[in-house]
Amino acid sequence: MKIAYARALFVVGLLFLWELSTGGVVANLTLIDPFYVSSPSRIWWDVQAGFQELLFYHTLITLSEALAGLLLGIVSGLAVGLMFALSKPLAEFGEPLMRGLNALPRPALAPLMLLWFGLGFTGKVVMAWSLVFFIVFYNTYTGATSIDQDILNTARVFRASRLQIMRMFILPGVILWIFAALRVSVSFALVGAIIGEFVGARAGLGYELVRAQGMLETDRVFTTLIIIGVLAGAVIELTRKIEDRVLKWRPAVTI
Amino acid sequence: MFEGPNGRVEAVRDLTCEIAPEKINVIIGPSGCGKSTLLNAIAGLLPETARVSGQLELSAGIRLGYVFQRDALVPWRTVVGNAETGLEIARMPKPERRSRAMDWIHRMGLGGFENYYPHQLSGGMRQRVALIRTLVCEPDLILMDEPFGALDAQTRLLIQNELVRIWRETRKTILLVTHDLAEAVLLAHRLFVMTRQPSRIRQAYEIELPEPRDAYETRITDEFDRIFKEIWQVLRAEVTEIHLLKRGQKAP
Repeated sequence: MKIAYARALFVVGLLFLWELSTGGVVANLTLIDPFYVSSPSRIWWDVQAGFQELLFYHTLITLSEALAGLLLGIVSGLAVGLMFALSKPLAEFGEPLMRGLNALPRPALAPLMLLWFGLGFTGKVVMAWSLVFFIVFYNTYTGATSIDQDILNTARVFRASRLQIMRMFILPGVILWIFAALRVSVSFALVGAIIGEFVGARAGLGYELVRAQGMLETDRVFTTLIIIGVLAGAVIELTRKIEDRVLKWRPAVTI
Repeated sequence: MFEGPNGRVEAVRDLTCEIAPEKINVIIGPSGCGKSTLLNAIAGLLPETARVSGQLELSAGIRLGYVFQRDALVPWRTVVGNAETGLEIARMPKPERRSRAMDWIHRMGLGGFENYYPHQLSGGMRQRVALIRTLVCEPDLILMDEPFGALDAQTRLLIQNELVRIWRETRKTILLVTHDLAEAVLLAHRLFVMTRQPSRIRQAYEIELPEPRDAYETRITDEFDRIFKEIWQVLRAEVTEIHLLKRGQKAP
């Protein structure tokens, strides 16, 4: 508890120093021009002024892009991962291709997405999807192929059908592997959406960030950054809660 | 015949062993002599690359149970969930399979632990759950592949006693494989000594120790000692040959 107080004090101290050095406490004591670094009070006023009409809207856009990409990524990654796990020839054929595609840094795809899908929603969803898909694909594939051989043998001794083996032993394992990677997937979905918006968009937090920077609105740049940070933190915390609930069968591990 | 990474390995050859019904049958042999292969062949678990020539006489409709060395519990199922796995596969309605599983959970002294997950249990408890999972299905023949090999010495004594007790109560036919001679003599009514690859049954013994046997009491009797020494003479020859082989010498 003491550490928590000290930490809060440390953060408040930093904010105070920031405010002080930009002339917010003593008017004629300005060490750094707030034009470049903004200041806590300016950000506070900007949040008041801009949150409802602009940032709330942009946040919703980015969030829905990320969510759509996340869901598509999970569904397609699960489907392809299972296909690879069930068909050895397909896995041998496709695994090097997947590895190659996955090696490509996804931000490099953003210009192409702009060319193909324009400024709208779709391109950002595809960006988010392109990151989530591979995480889910690899987790599904690993989960489905790494199932304990003795468990499968037990199922066979009990004369389980292929469908039963799938439903009772492989799918639950796979879903838990996907859940274990959910936090990473969620962060990556946000990253994908925001990078897509950087390159070209009409709305979204990434768009607002680039726009504000272009118009030299430093306060807005900081406000947007903070909103992105809080949003990501909240989503990841929510995911952790879901994980803890779903994965309660498993000893505590940190990924 | 196995297609291994180093070519073919003939694991088991001309193997005949007559299993005593409603008794504990134990196969003992040096590590790597094909004991597990034999069990897997009986259970029909051999990979497609392995061929069994000849025939394996197993009466049609016989129900098998198999307990592995590692408990092979499903980690996301609770104790009762694991216990009822076999019944669930057999499509038994939930209330019935639940009550049967709970019945055995109590008989094996795991009452109160039914909602625990495997990672919350000790090795001995986990192996007990694996036993329960097999027993609730009421198999005609229970195969056990070094079922206590992964347990510490004290736990092993306890669970050996447990097995003896369960056998007394149910009179199941059990075929257990081990490389621990003391365990073999303690548990077996009929004991088979298996040779190194390609494996054959070298000798079969009827072990007549006073019942009920006890993992500790039986072990300190003179009778136990005598049987142990007798079989050890036979077994030692096998183990020694394996060691010579491993040093690169050709088999005679």
